[in-house]
Amino acid sequence: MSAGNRAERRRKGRAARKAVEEKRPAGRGGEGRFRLGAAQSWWRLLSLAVVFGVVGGFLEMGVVGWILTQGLPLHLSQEYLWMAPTAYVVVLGVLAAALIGAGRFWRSAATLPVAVGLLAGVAMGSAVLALEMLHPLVAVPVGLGVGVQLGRMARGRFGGFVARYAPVGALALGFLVAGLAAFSLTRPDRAEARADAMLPAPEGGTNIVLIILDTVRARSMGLYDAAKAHTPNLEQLGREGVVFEQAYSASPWTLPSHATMLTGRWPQEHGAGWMRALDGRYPTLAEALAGNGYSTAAFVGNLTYANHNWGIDRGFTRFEDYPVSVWQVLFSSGIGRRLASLDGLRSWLGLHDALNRVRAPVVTDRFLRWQRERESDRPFFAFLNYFDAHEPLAALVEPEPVVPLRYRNGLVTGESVHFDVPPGGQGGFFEIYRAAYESVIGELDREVGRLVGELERRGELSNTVVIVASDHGELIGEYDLFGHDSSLYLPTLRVPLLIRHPGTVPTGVRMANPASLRDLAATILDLAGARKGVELPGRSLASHWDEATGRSTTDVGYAFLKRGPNLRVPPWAPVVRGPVMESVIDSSFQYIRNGDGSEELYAVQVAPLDARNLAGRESAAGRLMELRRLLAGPWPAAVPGPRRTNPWVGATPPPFPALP
Amino acid sequence: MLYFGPETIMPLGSALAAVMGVILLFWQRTVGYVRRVVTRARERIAGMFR
Repeated sequence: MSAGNRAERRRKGRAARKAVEEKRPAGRGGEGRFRLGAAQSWWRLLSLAVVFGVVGGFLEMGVVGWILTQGLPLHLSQEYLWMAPTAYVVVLGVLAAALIGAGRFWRSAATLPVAVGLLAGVAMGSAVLALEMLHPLVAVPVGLGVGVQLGRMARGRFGGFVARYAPVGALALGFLVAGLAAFSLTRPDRAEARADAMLPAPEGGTNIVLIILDTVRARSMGLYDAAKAHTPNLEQLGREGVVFEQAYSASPWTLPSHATMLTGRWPQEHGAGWMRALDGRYPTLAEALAGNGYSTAAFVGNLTYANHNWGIDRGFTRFEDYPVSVWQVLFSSGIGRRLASLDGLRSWLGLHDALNRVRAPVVTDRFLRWQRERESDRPFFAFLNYFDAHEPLAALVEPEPVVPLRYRNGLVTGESVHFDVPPGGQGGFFEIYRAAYESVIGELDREVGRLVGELERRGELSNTVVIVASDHGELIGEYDLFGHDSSLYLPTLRVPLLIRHPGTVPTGVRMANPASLRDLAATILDLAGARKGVELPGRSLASHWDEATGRSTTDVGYAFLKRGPNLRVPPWAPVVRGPVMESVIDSSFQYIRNGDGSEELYAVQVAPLDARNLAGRESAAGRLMELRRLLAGPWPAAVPGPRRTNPWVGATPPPFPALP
Repeated sequence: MLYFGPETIMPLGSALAAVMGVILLFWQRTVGYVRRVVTRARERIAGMFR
């Protein structure tokens, strides 16, 4: 075919299309009908934004549903079902408003094909952005492709259909989303009413409040060292109960530690970890207490690894983690989450905490409101997680940054500062961080004081067991490390633990023997007098003070750490030496066996900064043998890994950047 | 040795999705080219047997 013939054919095609458009009656998809010069068109355009927004939101839900089938829980609010379409409607609504504005100056910008193409393209692009395995720029050609094709279609019958039915469609879909929101927001109330109706309330049950100070190590608290963080409220609680001088978590990071505390199973038993949520194999403490007629509620500040996506919520009738807020709605879309992941943007907007935490005062308020408004006469089990002591420390960035700019970005954004901090620290970073960390611990102490004071004012404290602990500690320069998930050194494992309930628990007692948080679940069941239904493994810590329970002086701490797939840690971190490492701690020594079989032995009473590995010393050979035997003892083997792994969590860690 | 792991699938998936997006963007033109190629091929094959 010659070039002249092709040009002729194109000319004829254009003429034919024009003829069809000119013959098409108004309101049947003609472009003229939708020009924004017409007074009634703006609301049609907004209707289109609602329709494409809700459809886009549901499309993203399909994508997210597929992702969930791949094995990795996503960080999504429990209100995602209505928040996702709402987020799309908001984003497309803003675009539609911009189009209306543009149409006043440039009429051809606000035609039906342009509106359909733009809204559909952005909705599709955002849904593609939800596929976090793909490069974000992929959203551009896919969104443009879909937008251009639907825009073209809108010039024909499809446009007429859309223009005609968009308002009624928007109304119907709007009602649908509003219904979903109402259903979802009232779900906890309905669940509580159902739970109340199912089991009779136990007679004389004791309330349990379990407060986890996430990432708070014992050695930085005034409760354990008068020279450290000012913690008068915790010290007062300690004087009214039992304080464990050597309490150890079973894992140096959040999810396995929480899962152990809530099931009584060791980390390698329950298997919850980097790519695996706590599954339903083992009953949880909340389920056991619910089975004994307790109301169960959790109020969580750690939105990274203690949220409902990770199975921690099992057994809790009410589980409050993500906030219901405008920002949370926007983060419920692919485009919102991608934008929120831009550290600089989040920092600029002042949203340092928006994605990964709920601040402690809000957690306390949520609990106190729930406790005040609950109508049930059942005893309650309330689980609170305060996340404020986890980096990035808000104290370092609000109101004024107190750390050198060089480190500030990592702290503000939550990007690990492993990369910025060379061995030995620099520019006094560790000193500044320790001071800020202790300041945050002081704030958490005030929150605990406020909570306990309010319970006392309401006359509930005398019938409430208060337990304060932490899921793991933190390394702030000790062993040339920062953070907590890269080793099993004592600062990451030795945590606070106090139990207060005058009458049941002795007052003013400080227990010197090692205790494991693995026994917390059995302890709580024991103190609650919950005898019905499931039993949880472990031994009640009451054995430390109660002769009748069988006094124990032989407890040891045990911890297990599995290397994460994408863990970005320095090359000198012990966790990189092999897939799995373990540790046992008795009253005098800690023994660590690293993944490559190398051993470390430390005296427990020596400060971490002065700690020396005694494993090679002849004088410690006897203790080394004993602790080796102890580690070879009753600890369970690791469960097999998940059948499916998430395809976009890389199998190999990315290269570690060179130190400055 | 062929290896399909997360590290290879991620860029491959991105590339495929991007290509699909571009094809969609120029759908009419793409379909036109394909149609033309098919027509020419058919004409040539028919010519061979004439």
